[in-house]
Amino acid sequence: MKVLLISNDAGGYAHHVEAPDNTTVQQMFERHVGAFHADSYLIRVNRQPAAADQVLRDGDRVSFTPQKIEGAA
Amino acid sequence: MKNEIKQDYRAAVEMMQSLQHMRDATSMSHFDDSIVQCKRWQRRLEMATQHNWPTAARDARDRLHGALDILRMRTTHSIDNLKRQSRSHIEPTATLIFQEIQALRGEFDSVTIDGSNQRLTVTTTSIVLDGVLLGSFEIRLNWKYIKESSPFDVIALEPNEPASGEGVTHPHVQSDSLCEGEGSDAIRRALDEGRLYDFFCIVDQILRTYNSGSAYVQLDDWNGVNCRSCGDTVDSDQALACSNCETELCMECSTCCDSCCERYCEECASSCESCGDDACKMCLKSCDDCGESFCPSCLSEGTCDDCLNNENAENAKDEPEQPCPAVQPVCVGKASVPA
Repeated sequence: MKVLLISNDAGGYAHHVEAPDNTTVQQMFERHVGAFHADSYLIRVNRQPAAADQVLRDGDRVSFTPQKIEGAA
Repeated sequence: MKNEIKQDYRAAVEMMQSLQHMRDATSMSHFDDSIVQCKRWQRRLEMATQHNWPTAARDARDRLHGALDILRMRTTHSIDNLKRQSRSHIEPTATLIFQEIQALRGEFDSVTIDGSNQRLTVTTTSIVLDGVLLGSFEIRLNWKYIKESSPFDVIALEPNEPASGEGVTHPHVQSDSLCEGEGSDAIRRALDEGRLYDFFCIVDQILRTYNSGSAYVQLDDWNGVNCRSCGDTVDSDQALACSNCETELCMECSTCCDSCCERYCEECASSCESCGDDACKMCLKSCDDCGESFCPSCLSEGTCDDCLNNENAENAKDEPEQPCPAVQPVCVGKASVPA
């Protein structure tokens, strides 16, 4: 299946990625971002809050937004 | 509800048009104009050089320089735009932007659209950083300017400004403008792709993060007082107000009047001409004779010691000398009294 992955970290890139069927949110995160820290990110699937064990479907839009983004002066 | 959906969709269409305009800006027509100008001044320069016309050659060289500068600037902008396009993997559509606006209504308590000003605004919940209450903020996206570098404002609704920083409402917000820091690329990319939901979430998260290493005003100094003399920030309970003009000062920059024991700023304090003690301008009095300023203990009935001494000396000089009384012999002038 194909999922739109948006990682709003420093690069803020968004691209379509292939994922095996029954991939969960946590697995997607670990594959593309790193060790899973649910508390450190706003995790949304199709712009709705999602649990770590939510299974993704073809065409889903998954976004990971860090909860700490440092501004400057 | 139906009107709200209509309004959201209308806004989405307008935003789409603004983004489309951004993409059209990469057309090469302005680029072609620059190249024509460069070629023109290059030809003039060659001609002037061949005919040995130094003034015309100088003029053509200057103009060619200017045209090349413009060409370079436009080239840089074109490369930047191409990079932006190559990075984008989502082509925004009005439907996608509409979905983004709908999702914002689920994420934020307040989402408003001001069609006449082409502004989409969300309101954050109250923000507290390191114990400092900053209140809630409005994030206003001006979609007419969505192609520009910072097309949004961040407005504090219950501003808690630090004493030392004018226009600062958040460690990373000054004059309603957010310094995006490490969120800069993600914000730009989200806007380019019409991902408004991500854009507002990123800005919201920046507002909820404190970067002590780069802040307009450190949170440690937020509730402090800025000394008007040296500029240092001191805790509000350690700051002193001038007893006369109420200017706020740190301890080092205030002067204690030795006469009334109150503290004063540099403007309101001075020193006694005689003893040199610090004294406020209220306690200092002018000597009636010389007009200089003295503390109360150095004045006697309105006159300073120096003037008093001078006065005494003058008086002593002016007084006529008293004749010495004649010494009379014993019993002289006395008459015997019969018993």
